[in-house]
Formats: sequence, structure tokens, C-alpha cells
Amino acid sequence: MTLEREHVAELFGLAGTFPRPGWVVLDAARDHRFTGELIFDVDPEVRVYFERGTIYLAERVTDPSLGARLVDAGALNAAELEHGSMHVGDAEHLGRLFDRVPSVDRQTTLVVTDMMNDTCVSWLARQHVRDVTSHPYRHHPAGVHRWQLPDDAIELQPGDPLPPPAPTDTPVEIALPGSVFAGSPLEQDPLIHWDEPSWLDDRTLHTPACEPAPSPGVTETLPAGDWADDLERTGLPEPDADPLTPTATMPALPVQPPDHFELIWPSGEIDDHFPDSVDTHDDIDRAGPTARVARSSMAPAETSTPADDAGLWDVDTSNPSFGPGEAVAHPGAATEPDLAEPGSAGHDTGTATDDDVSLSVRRAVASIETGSLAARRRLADTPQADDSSRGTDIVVPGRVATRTEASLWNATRAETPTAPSVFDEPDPAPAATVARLEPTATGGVDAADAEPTRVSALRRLIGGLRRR
Amino acid sequence: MSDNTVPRTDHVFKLLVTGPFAAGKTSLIQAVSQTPVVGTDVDTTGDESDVKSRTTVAMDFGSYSLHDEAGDSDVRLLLFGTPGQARFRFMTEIMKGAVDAVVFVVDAEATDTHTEAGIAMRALLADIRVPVVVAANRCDDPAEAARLARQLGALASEAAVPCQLIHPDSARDVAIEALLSVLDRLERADVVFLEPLQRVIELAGAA
Repeated sequence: MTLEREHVAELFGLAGTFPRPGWVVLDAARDHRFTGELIFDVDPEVRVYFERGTIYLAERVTDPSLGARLVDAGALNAAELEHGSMHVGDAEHLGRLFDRVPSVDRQTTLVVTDMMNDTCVSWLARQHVRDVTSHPYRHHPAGVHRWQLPDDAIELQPGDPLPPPAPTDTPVEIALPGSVFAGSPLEQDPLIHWDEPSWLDDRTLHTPACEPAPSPGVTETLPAGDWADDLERTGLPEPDADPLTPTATMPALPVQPPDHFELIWPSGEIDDHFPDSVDTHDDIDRAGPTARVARSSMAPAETSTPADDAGLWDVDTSNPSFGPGEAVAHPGAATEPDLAEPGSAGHDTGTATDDDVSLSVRRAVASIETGSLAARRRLADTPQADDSSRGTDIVVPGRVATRTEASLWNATRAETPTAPSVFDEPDPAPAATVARLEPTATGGVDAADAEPTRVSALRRLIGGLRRR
Repeated sequence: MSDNTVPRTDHVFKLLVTGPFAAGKTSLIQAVSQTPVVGTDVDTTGDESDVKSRTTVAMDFGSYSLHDEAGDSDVRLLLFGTPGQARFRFMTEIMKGAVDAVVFVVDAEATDTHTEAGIAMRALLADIRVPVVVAANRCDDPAEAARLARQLGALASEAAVPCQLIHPDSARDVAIEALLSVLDRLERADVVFLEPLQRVIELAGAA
């Protein structure tokens, strides 16, 4: 026994009410969570497919096949459609499309399908439907209903963003476990005291809360600590010895100062000789030892200018030839701070520049800069007579020129009348423009410079074809 | 080299001539090319033999060179023609690289080929971002050519040229139109080539 048309209309509460607007039928199907096919008697006939009240496909009978429309829309290419579809009789089944062709962009395909559905449904909603024929649980022959994944079946690939939480989900509260030192005076002290005795020792409570840090380079012994520290120094008693008899005390182990470190270079060289004391000054000690590099490596104080105070890491954003964030030195500096070798002229050996830390960091910075800024500056500073292989116009190199929308070529072209004869004779403007571009700050010919000549060549080609 | 400031540079422009079977691609290349067209035509078989006797199975190649009187540079136009049958579409995939423009030739009167031609054209434009010119062969009405181009999936900004490719002058007009599209792209920095989905939205809006 089949479900008659009248029964379906009664089921939707629309019996005897046709013709009705299309949106009324669509709303009724949604309210009843209808699953199957509804055929709307409009011109042209429209078939709408529902899954629990949700429309997953709507198409006019005059539309091309779904696969052809997806190819038309660019969601698929013809090869993907050919490999992803299965032809069962006259039907082109796309239910396994994403499985058969993993390279197909699922999201794009679904979005394009939704767009096409929206177009069709919005049109249908405005039509007066003469009648509706229903086929419950009949799906589209292309198998598109298989594309709809349940919410809990989303397969995430590595790197995919996590799906949003369900509205009913309660947020997970991440709380730190309670401290085992709750109530301890140590917990109230936010400082970490590296060289203080262990908290297990009662004597700790009587030690000052914050001791001055030991002087760098001074070897010292651990203060009297807990039983573990004593065990480290005295060792375990012999098996047969009286445990109450004190054992021989081992010499105290030297403890390195906390700011002692080594620089290990790629060559294997180790720099571990550092001064016993560090000269600090509020003005120059901006961020630790490395911050003094810029200031200490500058020219002598009597030649220093406010502009020099910008230092190596200051960025001159007013100069358009340099990009943001690019480290540049002051162009007028006669002795570049990052290039001055130790012991060279202008290097004050009697000040903080003797600091090996500064020297080590300077070497690292200079190594980094060698391949970029320093090399280019050296190239520019080299007298032209010393290098005969270079061109005639060497300027201080900066960042590689970038082509802007308002190029000189376009400005020149705007003044050139565009008449048909422009194809007959070579336009002299490009050559002049190229000649003007030569002495720019780019110091060479880049891709933007070659474009006007290509445009000129193309104009000649068009003119040649027209004359033919 | 007559001028030391401008080095000698040879410029090469490549056009891809594609379209469905028996649309007139080889005729277009033969009309424009100065050199004998390198073809791979063979005798047709089956239903295709009812349409024409020979067909391209791999590619057509023609060229047009322009030597500058000043001797500064040469300009060469290379035309690559594809086979029209769907089974040879892989040749289009091979030849579409580094082209400057696409000439999509379609026979305006062979309406049965238009659906397949539209699919092929949109699939091609989904992969490359170059100007496209639709050459509506056997068509004299610009409005009809424009309508056909829109039907195939071309945007309103993309050229549609009515042409009779059996006449060399008409074929050269198509090539010139393609080169003008390239020129327009070179000179206008604001030309943006749409992504496939953007093309769909643009077409839907136009409809």
C-alpha cells in the first residue's frame, strides 16, 4: 500500500488548500521533519529533497546534472568528476565522491551546493504551487544525502581547528592543584632563592628572606643546609661502621655563580672567561649585558651625536627605501658600530668595550649581519676602482625596490594619447621611462623595469598583426 | 644594440587556442601563423568522420615574429592549439602552463557542443589566471557572441568576438583581441582575476 498524495497533504495539514505559496509547503515539510522527495508542480517542476526536515538538495528538472553544475561552478574539475562519480544505469552517483577523490575540497563543494540550493529554494518559495507530490524516504539519485555527516562523525585531520563546543556543553574549568606548602611562610615569599637551604631544614625559617646575590666569579660553598646536603658532603657510612660516628667530611664542591655561562661556537671554541664584575649603569644597561653592545660599540663619546644614539637596532621608518623592522645603521656614521673590529681605530679599549660578553654578542650579531647589511654596505663603500666588474652607478643599496601601483610607466602612459597609430610606430615613451629609471635607488634593473619594454613589444606585435 | 641603456630583449607571448571538436582552432592558428603550422592531424573515425575528415590529436603550433627595424628586440607570438576531443584533454593540461592568454573557440551553430564546452572552459579557468577571449565562430552578431560567452561561463569583463575563422582577417582579429586583453592586464594593476567561487558569485549576480 502506497501513501497517496492526499494523505501526504493531510499529513502536512495542507489538504485542499492548493494552490499555495511555495514557502508554506516548505515550512510544513520542515515542521514535520519530512525525509524524502517533494515534487512541486510549478513551471518548471522543482524537486526538493529533505533529510529530517532539512533541505539538502533542490533542483529544477531543467537543470543540468549536479556533477555538471559543480564542474561549472569550479568546485570540481572534469577529471575529479569522472573519477569521483559512479554511473549506475542512467544515474550519476556522487555519494562516494569524497572517498574516491580525496583531493576534492569538501567544504567548497558543500558551499557551492548550498548556494545552488538557496537559489532554487528562494525562487520556489515565491511561486504559487499548484500541487505537491511526495515520495517519503526517496533520496536524490546522486546520493548527495551521504554527504551530510552527523555532527559526531566529523573527522579531523592534523592541523584542523577543533569544532566549536555544543551549546549544552559546560566549559571545563582548569584549576591548579592546591599547594602542599599552603600556610608555609615560603609560599608567601614570591622570590626564588637559589642558594638558600632547603625548606626541610628548620633553620631555613630563620634565614633572611632575601640574601644578596653572590658576586660573580666568586667560588663559595653551600651554607649549612639540610640532611641531604650533609649526606652529599659526608657520604654514606660504611656498612660495618658505627652510624653515630661522624665520617670524614669531603671537601666542599665549588658552586658556580648563577650568572656564569659559556658560549659554545659552531667551530667548537668555548668562551667562558668573563670578568669578575660587571659594570652597570642605569643609562646604558637597558636589558642586560647585550644591551650594552650598541652603546659600547659606538664611536667615541666626543664624536657621538644624538642620531648615533639610535644604535644598531633602531629602525629608520622615515626612509622609504627600508622596510619596517629592518635593522639599519645611520647612513652618515663614518665608523659603523657593528662593523668595527675590536682594537681598530675608535675602539676604546679602556671602557666597557673590553667586556667579553659584549664582544661575544657583537661577534654573533656581526656574523648574522655579514650576509645582508654588512656585505651590502661593504660593497657600496668599496671604491669603484677597486672592482672593475661592477657597474657604473653604485649607490648605497637598500631594500629591493617594490613596484607600486602608480608606477612611472603608468604615469607616462597617461599622458600619451591612445590612438590607433600607437601600434604602428614604436612608442618612444617606454625607452625614455627606462632611461629615467636607471639611476634610482634600486641600483639595478628589477622586474618592474622590464615590464614597460614588454608592453612596448606587445604593442608592436599588435600593430604588426593589424598591418598584415 | 643601438642603445646601451636598454639591453636587447626578445619578448615572447603565448596564446593557448582551445575549444571543442571542430570549432575552428586549427584554422585560427593557420591564419595567424607566419610559419607552416606544426600539426598532428590524423584522419577521423566513427561519428567524428561525419563532421570533418581530419582532426588534431596532440597539438597545433604556429608562430608570428616581428623583427624590430632598430634591431633592439624581436617579438614572437606563439600559438598552441589543443585537440578538441575530451579524451585528449590531458594535452590541454600540458600546454596551459605559462600562457599569456586563452582563446576559447566555439562553434556558435554547433549548439550541442556548448554544454561540454562550458564545462571545459570553466575547468580551465579554474586552474589558470590569464585573460580569456571567447571566439564565437560562424557568428556575425556581437550580441549573440556575448550571450554565448556568458552561457559558457565567461564574465562580462571577458571579451567575446564574433568571427568567421575560415577568413584569415577574422582569425587575426581574434588574436589581436587576445593580445589586447594581455595588454590590458599588463597596464592595469587593478585587474583582479577571480577565484572559481568568485566567478560563480559574479555569474549568479549577473543572472
